[in-house]
Amino acid sequence: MTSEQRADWLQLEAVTAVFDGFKALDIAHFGVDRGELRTVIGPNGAGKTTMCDVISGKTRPTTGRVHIGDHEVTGWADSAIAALGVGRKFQTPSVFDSLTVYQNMELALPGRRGIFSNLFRRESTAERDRIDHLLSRVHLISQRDGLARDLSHGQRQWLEISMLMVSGANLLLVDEPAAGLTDHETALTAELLLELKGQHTLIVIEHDMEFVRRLGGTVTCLCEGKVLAEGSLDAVSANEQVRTAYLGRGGERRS
Amino acid sequence: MTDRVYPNDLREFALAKAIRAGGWQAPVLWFDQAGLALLAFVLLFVMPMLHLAGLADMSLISQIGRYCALALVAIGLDLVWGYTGILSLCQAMFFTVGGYALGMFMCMHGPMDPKSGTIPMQLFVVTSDPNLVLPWFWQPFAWPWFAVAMVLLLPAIAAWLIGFFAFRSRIKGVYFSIITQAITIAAWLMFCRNDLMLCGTNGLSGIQILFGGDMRDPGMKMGLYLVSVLTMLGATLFALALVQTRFGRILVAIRDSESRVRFTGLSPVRYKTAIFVIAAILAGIGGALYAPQTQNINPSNMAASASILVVVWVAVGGRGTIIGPVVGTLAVCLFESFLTSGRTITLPFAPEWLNAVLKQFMSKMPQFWMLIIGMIFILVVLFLPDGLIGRWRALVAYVRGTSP
Repeated sequence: MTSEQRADWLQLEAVTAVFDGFKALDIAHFGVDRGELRTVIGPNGAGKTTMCDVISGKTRPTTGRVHIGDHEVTGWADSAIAALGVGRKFQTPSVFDSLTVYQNMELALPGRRGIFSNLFRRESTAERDRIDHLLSRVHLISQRDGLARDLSHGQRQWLEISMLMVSGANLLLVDEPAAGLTDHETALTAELLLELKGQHTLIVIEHDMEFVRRLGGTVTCLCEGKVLAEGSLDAVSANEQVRTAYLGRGGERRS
Repeated sequence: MTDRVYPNDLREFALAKAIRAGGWQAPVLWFDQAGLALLAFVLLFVMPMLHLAGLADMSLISQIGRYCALALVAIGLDLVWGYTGILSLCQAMFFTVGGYALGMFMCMHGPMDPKSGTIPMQLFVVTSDPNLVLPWFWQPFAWPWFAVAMVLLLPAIAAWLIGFFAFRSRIKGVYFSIITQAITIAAWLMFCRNDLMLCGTNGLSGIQILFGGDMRDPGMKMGLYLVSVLTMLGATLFALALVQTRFGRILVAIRDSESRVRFTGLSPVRYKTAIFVIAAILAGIGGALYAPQTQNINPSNMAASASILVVVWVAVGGRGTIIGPVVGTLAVCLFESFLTSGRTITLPFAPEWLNAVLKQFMSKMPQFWMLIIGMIFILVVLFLPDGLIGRWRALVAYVRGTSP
């Protein structure tokens, strides 16, 4: 993918994010096609989460532009970007602990953002069926009316992904979905993400290379806020710069 | 999305549908409602009957009526603090503003200065100016509909201004508490000033005439008691219904994880402001019911400690339960009234010295009450995080042999 291509659905153009003089993000161009599953890898502090923060509006870019679909969303409020269909799964699973699993899902239903519509409207039968179906899919249906605080770590991850699925978001930012999961749980998570591909555009941040391989697709490697390499996992991991970045500067000097 | 459903999941899916059809509800909560019904029965029926039988004098009835007015403030704070997780320390300010709005209406219909004949007596408490003219903002309070509208609107507007700007700037937690307390103290200092023409530190005292009736009249007292009880019960049902809606669940969601709410596409600012305004209106109504029953409303009603007391009532009763704060308010206020009434308790069969100690203890209570309430608060936070209602639920669960 060359920088001349500008037909991407999600685009970051010359985006920098500077915190107290520290340039956490410095991306000349980053683009993702509609329906693509993009995996972002990179050593700690490479700016992966900051990039998600910029896309979702949690952090305003210092310079540059962010386009999602036909909208330029630079500087929009995070809830406005979310209303556009950008869903986010945090690094540590964040669900609503004091609500039941079902109520968590119900809150994620699309539309109905006004106060008065939320006072009187209830979910339709079709919406309920959709929620129950998704909960069955992630093996949470038996915990449907239990509180989310009683779920295990893996179950919380799935609940959060399911909330994104039910929200009708078309761009999903998924931060380390496999962190702290068992092998069996990781497999189901990968399966879920692959199902979402095509219908949704996904950006998945992950450290677990086995998991990245399972997801396939294009991999972008970030380092010190910059895009270091982009391509298939094999091509990226064969890249000399990427290898140096993962080994650290100390190794570079010694060689 | 192509959903792949496994046989096992299909069975669970059917189970979920069955659960849904049965309208399953936690059985323990049913006992909450039974408790509320019992409270309503006692307040609306037993208390007036006891009064008629001569067993409860009017001052006790009126006292409970005032506590019901205070419970409205607690219900509001529970919505804001218990459900949404915002600790507000300015509820007493909304309460007092509501009280002043109705109090000014009562002044305008009460005894007038004999010389001018159009200026309420209360205004002469802080000035001896013989050429005093009625301040412009007093005049409209002569109209009942204006005064009643102000009881609701003034706290609502104040809450909207505080809430919107604080929440938009993402002021949270202890910072919000400190800011609301600072605003309350600023308002208190303002109301104490004579040149604001709100009767300074004396406030509106001796307000007696309400809609043509005299508040010293036992019939009026009983009437206002019943109105207070009914309003309090109505507000309880309203709040309980409100938290059952999707709006209510969004409030809880904001308490649990505000950022997740934002990334769900909902704007927490809107919801937090809305619930803050609703709580302020409830407090304003409480103030409007309280003022005529004490025939007095003054700046000390919004002292910093008054708002903290509301927090104690809610915590003692049990946060996030609506019914808990109502019970907490009544319990703490009755306990306070019992301890500070200056009566002496004599235990039968107890040794002389114990009764002497008890007498000494009770006589010191009016000064030490705030220390006692502080201790109660600390003990509740440490040992009863779910408050009185939490104990009640645990008891119900224990008797039924289920886990709470």
